[in-house]
Amino acid sequence: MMAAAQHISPPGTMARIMVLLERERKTRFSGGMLGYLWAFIIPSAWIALVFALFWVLERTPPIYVGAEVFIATGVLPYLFFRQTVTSLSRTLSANRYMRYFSSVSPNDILSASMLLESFNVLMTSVLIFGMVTVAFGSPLPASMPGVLFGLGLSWLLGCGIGRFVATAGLLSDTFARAVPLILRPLFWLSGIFYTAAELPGAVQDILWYSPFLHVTEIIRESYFLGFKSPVATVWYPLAIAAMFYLASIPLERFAHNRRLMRGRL
Amino acid sequence: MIALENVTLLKPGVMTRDPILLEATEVFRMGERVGILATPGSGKSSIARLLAGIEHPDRGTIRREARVSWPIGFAGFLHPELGVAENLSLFARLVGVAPRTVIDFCDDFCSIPNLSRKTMKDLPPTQRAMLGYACALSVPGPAMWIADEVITIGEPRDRERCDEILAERLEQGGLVFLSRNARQLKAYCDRFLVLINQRLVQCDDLEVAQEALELSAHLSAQEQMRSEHA
Repeated sequence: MMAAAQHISPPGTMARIMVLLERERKTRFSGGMLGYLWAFIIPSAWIALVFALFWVLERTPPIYVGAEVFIATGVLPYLFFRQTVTSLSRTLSANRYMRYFSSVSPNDILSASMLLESFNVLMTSVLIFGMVTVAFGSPLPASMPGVLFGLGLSWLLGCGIGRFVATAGLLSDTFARAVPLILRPLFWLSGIFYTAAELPGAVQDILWYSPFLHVTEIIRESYFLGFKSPVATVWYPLAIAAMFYLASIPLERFAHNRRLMRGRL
Repeated sequence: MIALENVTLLKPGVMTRDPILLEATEVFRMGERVGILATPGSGKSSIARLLAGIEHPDRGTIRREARVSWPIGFAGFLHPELGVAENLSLFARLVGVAPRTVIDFCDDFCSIPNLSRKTMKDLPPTQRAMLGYACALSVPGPAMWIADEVITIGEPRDRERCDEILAERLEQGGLVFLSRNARQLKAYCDRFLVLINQRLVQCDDLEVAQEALELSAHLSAQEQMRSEHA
């Protein structure tokens, strides 16, 4: 006998996003033994790699702090940004079949990925900074809200640029494939290895246009007591994130009207 | 009910876009079982998705009253890396049905021992397809049901079970069945349309419609050859 029909109320936008988020969370690192530990292993490996590079090059941080925490404050915002962009650029194609439920829109899918990344940013930061503090005896952040705000900025940059990449990728497969190449140099422009103060004036003037330098400097200002950045501004990374986010809206409209997507429904 | 008014659907593209459906005006009512005969490659699946509200028309309007299903039998939303129970629970919450209802229905419908304890990878393709089919029919209440080529699934015994449940669901709903197979359409539907030259045309005799489609395909192939030759 069939089970008796039992309705629950149809999900609203937020409920739909939460279901998509849960699905994404459960499947993000599925298919291996380590599962969600990868969210912790990847940034740890990056920090260890840059730490080894510092050691080989006999470089010491330009301010009086441990190399590990100096590197962590540079690598984490960059990785969060990259991770958010990568996740958004894949999510529309990976979750395209969820659109068979006519209430699920591309916006729901993108929002679910953004929220999941914000959760990842928070958890990974706590774990990594916690590990650095415990293992190396580094001091805790001078201003915890400031550090969280800086990490939030890197996430916002990832959301804005990631949404642009995701929607532009619907229009051009070539663009979607070129994005990792375009983003690669940002690793060197984001202040992982240096502070803005130690750059020559002309270089500093050019790198001012990298929003990631601002974010890294904002986080270091909040993490290291007494560190003052000559370049850090909040409005610039915010404006870049907003600009890309807004630019993605007409692109999404265009792709929707022309029924363009990556992969078939 | 699904009401199409001057609906045009074009193929995806940036610049030139060929039409799939041109200026269609048609009403599919609850209680009706409408069969649409169409040749392979004529855009059946796009039209099925259009009726289901997954795709949007390029011109014209579509009005829907009551729930419209997605093409039944579609199983793409079941994630291969998740367990069956997890998949069903996420599915249920997304469509607004209690997870227990869906899990019990699928358990009962698929008759696969310990179904909800399995992972998707444990299921062979036929069982996965059965599960997708069961998901669509697990949603209770009146609805317009859309079928794109697939209307039953599995072995003859499974197909009987599909027919039984589908008939139960259709007591309170309507059906739009798109297929290339006139015999199958006749078995399930009581009103027929044919998709010919991107137009939906009323048709009482499916044999004539099938011949007309073949002739149309033959003529367009000849025309194409002539233009290539020229």
